[in-house]
Amino acid sequence: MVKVALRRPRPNFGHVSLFLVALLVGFLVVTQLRGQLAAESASGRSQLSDARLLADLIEANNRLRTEITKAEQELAALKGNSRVDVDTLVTELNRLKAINGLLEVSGPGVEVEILGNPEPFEMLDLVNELRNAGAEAIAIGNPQTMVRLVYRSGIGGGRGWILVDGILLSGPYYIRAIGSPDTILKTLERRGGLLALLRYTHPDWVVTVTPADRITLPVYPNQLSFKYARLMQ
Amino acid sequence: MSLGFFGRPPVLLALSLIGLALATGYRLSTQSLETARDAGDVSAVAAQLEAEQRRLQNRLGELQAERDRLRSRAQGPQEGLSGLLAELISQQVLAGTVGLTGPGVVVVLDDSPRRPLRGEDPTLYLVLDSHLRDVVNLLWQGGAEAVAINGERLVVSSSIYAAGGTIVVNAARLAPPYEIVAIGPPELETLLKAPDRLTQLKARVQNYGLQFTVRRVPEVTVPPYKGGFATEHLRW
Repeated sequence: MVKVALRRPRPNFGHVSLFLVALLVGFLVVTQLRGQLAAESASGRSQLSDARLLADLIEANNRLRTEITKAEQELAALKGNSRVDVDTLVTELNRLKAINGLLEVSGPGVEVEILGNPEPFEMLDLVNELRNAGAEAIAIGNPQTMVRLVYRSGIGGGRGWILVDGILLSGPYYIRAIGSPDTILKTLERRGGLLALLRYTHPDWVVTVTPADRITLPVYPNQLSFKYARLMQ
Repeated sequence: MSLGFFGRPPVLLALSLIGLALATGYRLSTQSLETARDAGDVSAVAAQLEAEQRRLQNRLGELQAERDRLRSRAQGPQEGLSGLLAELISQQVLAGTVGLTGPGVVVVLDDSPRRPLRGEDPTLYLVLDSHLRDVVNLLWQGGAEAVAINGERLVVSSSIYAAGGTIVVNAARLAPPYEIVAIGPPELETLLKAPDRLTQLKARVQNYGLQFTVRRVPEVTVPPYKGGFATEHLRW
């Protein structure tokens, strides 16, 4: 009978120390990497959105200054001859109608073409990004129909079918926006931006943004009435 | 001179790695400090711009009120003016520069009171800009006529996006809880509560304790938009 002696491993202090050192290194490296990733994502995100926030605030204040100048001029005219200048009123009325989607509008801008089957939230995010980039008027559609967006436009449907204010749209989808082509293009195409995300999530889609000197958007097709809201007294 | 244990190649490698890790850590903490200082600057600049914005909004509000008062007083002798002024008001209502009141819903969204577990993504416990966009979009789909978030009226140019831990609407930084008020049909409440709607948000409510309440109200007030509209590129 062969007796097999079970060999108890002798404690090797070198190995134990190495094990402890490796553990410590592992812990430190992982901690640092986590910290680095967190720092990168936090600073990357906040620097980008900080810049966006400041740009937004500056633009909002500039728009307010423009409106103040206009109001001051009209007020001075009203005080001067106590008559309402009809031309000023008509200009203001038409400007509001253009903003509200009730006049056909044109101007420089971009066309976003989506060869894919977006979900409603993806279209919503694109519209949000265009507004963020200072788009002054937007329409969504396909080669047959373009639907102008108004303040209360809702985007519904499902993947591959998009409902804009009750109007059914199939692809290929186009979003046309009037505004600074350069700013809109840069906002949409920035690294890590919305288009990069869409292209990454849907590698089979083709999403292109084309700047244009002149884009024309139609009048909003539905009635805009108020059934529940009243003027605040 | 012998280095003994510390002289062995694996131990030397391990020690170098520790050194590297510690050095990286030092560099990162310096960077974090710089980032924090930058963030402080941004916050201070943003606060200044916001104060400027409030001043400009107040000034514009005063001028517009005075202008409207003079316009309505001058109305008498001028022919066709009353029709024009009425049309102007209806366009201002659509543009959102007039406060409105009526029946509707109040939706409140708030961050989760729970703390994220170790290693979990903390944003799972926060109200995101996309949640607010989804709620607002559903309100419009349900026939809402006017909507505001924390007092910011949503107009045709409004976007909802995240910046530095807050959500920005109309260049105003909003903080949770987010109260969305909407004037519209009573069915809005049912629509928002429907299990097949706002599924992503409702999953966060279920799994991470995000707060989401909807209640129908007989009367709600939606304040006017106080900003301006950009029309530099627009021709009509």
